[in-house]
Amino acid sequence: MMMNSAIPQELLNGLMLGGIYVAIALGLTIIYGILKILHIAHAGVYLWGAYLGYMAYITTGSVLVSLLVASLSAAVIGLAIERLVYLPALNKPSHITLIMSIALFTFMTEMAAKIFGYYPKGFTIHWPLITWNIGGVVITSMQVFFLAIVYGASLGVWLWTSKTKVGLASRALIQDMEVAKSMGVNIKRVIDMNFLIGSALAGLSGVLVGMYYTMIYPHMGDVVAYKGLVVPVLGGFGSVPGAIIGGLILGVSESYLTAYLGNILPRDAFAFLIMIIILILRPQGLFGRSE
Amino acid sequence: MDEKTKKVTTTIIVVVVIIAIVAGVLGYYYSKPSGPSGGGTIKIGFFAPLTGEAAADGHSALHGAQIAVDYINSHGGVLGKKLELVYYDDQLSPDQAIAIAHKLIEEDKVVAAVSGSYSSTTLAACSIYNEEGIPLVNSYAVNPDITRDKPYVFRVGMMGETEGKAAGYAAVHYFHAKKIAILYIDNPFGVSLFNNAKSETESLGASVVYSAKFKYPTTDFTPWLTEIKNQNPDVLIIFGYYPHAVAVKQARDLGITVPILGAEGFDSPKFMEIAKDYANGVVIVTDLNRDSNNSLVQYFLNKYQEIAGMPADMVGASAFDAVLVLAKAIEKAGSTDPGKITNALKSLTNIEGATGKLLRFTDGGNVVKYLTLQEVKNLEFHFYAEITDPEIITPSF
Amino acid sequence: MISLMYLITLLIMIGIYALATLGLNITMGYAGQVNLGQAAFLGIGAFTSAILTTRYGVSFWLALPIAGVIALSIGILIGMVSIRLKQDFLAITTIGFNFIVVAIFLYYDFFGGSYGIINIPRPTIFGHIIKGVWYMLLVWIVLILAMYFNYWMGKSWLGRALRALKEDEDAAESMGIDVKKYKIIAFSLGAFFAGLAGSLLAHFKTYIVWSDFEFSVSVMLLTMCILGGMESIYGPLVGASIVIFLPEIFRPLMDYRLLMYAVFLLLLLKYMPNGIIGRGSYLERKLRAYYSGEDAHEG
Repeated sequence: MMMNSAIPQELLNGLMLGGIYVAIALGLTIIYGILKILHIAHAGVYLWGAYLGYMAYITTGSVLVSLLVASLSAAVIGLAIERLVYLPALNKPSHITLIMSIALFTFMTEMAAKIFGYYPKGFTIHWPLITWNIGGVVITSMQVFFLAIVYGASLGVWLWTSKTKVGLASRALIQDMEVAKSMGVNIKRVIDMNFLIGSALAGLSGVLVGMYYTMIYPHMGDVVAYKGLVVPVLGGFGSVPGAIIGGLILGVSESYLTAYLGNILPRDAFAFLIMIIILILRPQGLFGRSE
Repeated sequence: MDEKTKKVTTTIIVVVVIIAIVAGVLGYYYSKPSGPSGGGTIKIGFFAPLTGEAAADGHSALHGAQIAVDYINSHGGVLGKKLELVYYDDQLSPDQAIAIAHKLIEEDKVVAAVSGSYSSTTLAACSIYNEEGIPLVNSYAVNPDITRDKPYVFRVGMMGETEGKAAGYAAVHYFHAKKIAILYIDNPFGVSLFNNAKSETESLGASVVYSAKFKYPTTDFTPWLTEIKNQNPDVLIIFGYYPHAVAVKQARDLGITVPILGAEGFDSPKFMEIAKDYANGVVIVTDLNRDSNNSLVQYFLNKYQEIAGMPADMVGASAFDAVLVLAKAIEKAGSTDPGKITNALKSLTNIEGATGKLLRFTDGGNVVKYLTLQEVKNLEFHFYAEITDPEIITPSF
Repeated sequence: MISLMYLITLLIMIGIYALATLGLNITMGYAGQVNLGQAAFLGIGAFTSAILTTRYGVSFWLALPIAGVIALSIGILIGMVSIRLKQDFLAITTIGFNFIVVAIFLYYDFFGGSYGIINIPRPTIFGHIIKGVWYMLLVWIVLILAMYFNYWMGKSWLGRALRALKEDEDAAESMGIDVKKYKIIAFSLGAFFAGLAGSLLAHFKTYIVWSDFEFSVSVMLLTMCILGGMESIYGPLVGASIVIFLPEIFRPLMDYRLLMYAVFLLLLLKYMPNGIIGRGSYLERKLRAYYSGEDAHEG
């Protein structure tokens, strides 16, 4: 039957989409876990990582340099946001910081548009394209590259939180900041590290998205800015495995939904509907703690 | 924050706001020439999105309009006077378009106006021009309701029905397709194109085996394309804008080798920039023939490249023609009276424009003109075929 | 000379958005319930009124209140959903609500789909069409009535209960205030006024489309609310006037509009979270002191 290879193909599409969600959600969930801030501007970091990575590629022609520049510059931008915007505002009610984050995201999007232009930019990397056909499923070398790096980096972050000193300290912070403080954890340093790593991951995924879809444009952050929140809700804020599994679930289900039920329910509405249902029924998500 | 800081902050902000308002109002008064045309120039209003997401097309349209104004002025102007383009940025906001309409009509006192904007904004504003009896020429917005039942509103671009029909016709006639797959953008443009392409192909004996709509920011078409590959169509039609060129790339990567047909949304050098080599072979339905022998078309193409630093597209060409037909109408009317200009527009025939020969306007104010199929060869658009069948090119109202 | 019609157009928009902001102010300013989806209620009111008048021949005068009531009922729904949610989670729920509602407007042809709804009739009274300065009068009458309601509410038991909610939900609960009920009321009232505003918007523009109610509009309404000052009767009007009027004057700076907007909002939140005339702001206290003859000190 004609449908047979479509189902696993959709799975592949879902994994691609899921990868983006996972990469973005990791930063979001950790940052919220520690600072209780909904970091909408994370999508702005993603966006700028894409643009700066693109500039690096144009200048050097090296994919590796591009990925490094994207990650590092995003990390710096994320840190700057944390120090300049969030830390001074910690004592404000949380909806204020949320709105500040939204305004910041708008600012970052518009700056990108002003500096780089409103037009989308073609982003083609000169690698030979190889396609494989495995049991009816077409997979390209670009997809393999994308999946490998995005999931690899995400798993790296997971390992970091469970194996390294700073990572474990982050978990402690997420659990209870006061207790962590009393145990001698250097709060500032841990927060900084988390912003650096979370933002680097976002920037990395941004430039990868640009490479894979062969274009970057100022509003590319819009797609993930708010939908990105659905994943930590699903997985549980503060939970790293939650972000990974949540991202996968969202990516795969959106993929199947669009392909088979596209005429009944709009794609975006689907994600937010899931989010609201989870918030009502199980606000702590799959892996979060009950308040 | 303590009492004193609050006081100081508030005072500063209030003072700044007041100064800003006063400066703004003063600047506003002194920069605007008041009064109707009558002095040295004939004023034509123009609105387009110059900031925000749609700024690319807005600027394209503005370029086109300005090139037309310069061209006309350097050839003696209109009725012995120079044309002046009074333009505003509508930010792609229907609310803004409404405010601008009042501004242009009542303050700048334009004799006519051109829309260089999208359907949402043009639709919001067109009733105002129509009610006030100021002729409005719509460049490229495709929604049919813009001109429907509005004697003062005209359109030089194609409507979705015409373009959709042409695409359906091209698929069957030039690509001999029996089974067609259509991906279309979920907005007035796409929906209209889809409906008309579908009915035209069906009336020609072919069928649409798969269709799906997508929202503007979509960059991942693989779910739909996977399904399309399974359906094995003879032609894939993609009704979208140039950012959706990725769909072409993804289709080819997935192993879809059949011809790909697009419409005016792909009519832009950006399409090639994004799709790169994947663009070659794609055919689009549009009205800007890059290989045209006509000197005005070539003049426009060269001038646009010179001013904008990139090749022209259908949007710029449409805006050029919108200003052009207004100039011709004013000349023909021999007057700047909006009512007379409107009647002159209704009676214009065979105007050579940047988008080819504009045969005439229908009673509904829609243009009747030839369409062209352009194929991408070596990353440039070139002539593929011309569509002149009156049944296809004549709008339904 | 500034043309009268142009000014009237601006005043109509200011009145309409001030009304929607007034609703938001009740939900957020008085009751402290974060609502980042007010544009959705605006849209619900607008589409309700548009559909009733264009498809079912209902008179504007009936469609207007119905729009308010329908928006109010959805507000009740959101209120119920919000019962267990606080602050951030409430905020993202309202964001999600906005996206869902707009997606529904876009997707289903019942709402005109991507075309939207055109030819929305202007209201008529005794055979005369209401437009221009008369429409402005209509809008402002509704706004003033709403402001009066707001004034009454501020002084009443309702106002006190809502404020208690904002202050501390748990404390309010322990004082015997039915937190659930008042959360629902907070959202319904906010939605009701947005619904009315939506109807007025639809019959002014005579054409509405899904993108008129996107999330960015909610952010704009929020900006108006915060800028003008929360928990204040005049705040929404001040906020709406500035946000709508300023771009008209600063047309030369249009290119940097969104940028300035974002920076402005950031600075506002950091340095002037009480807005220009909101409760607790410098101006408000000075005015209150002036009118009651007391000394102005930290409230």
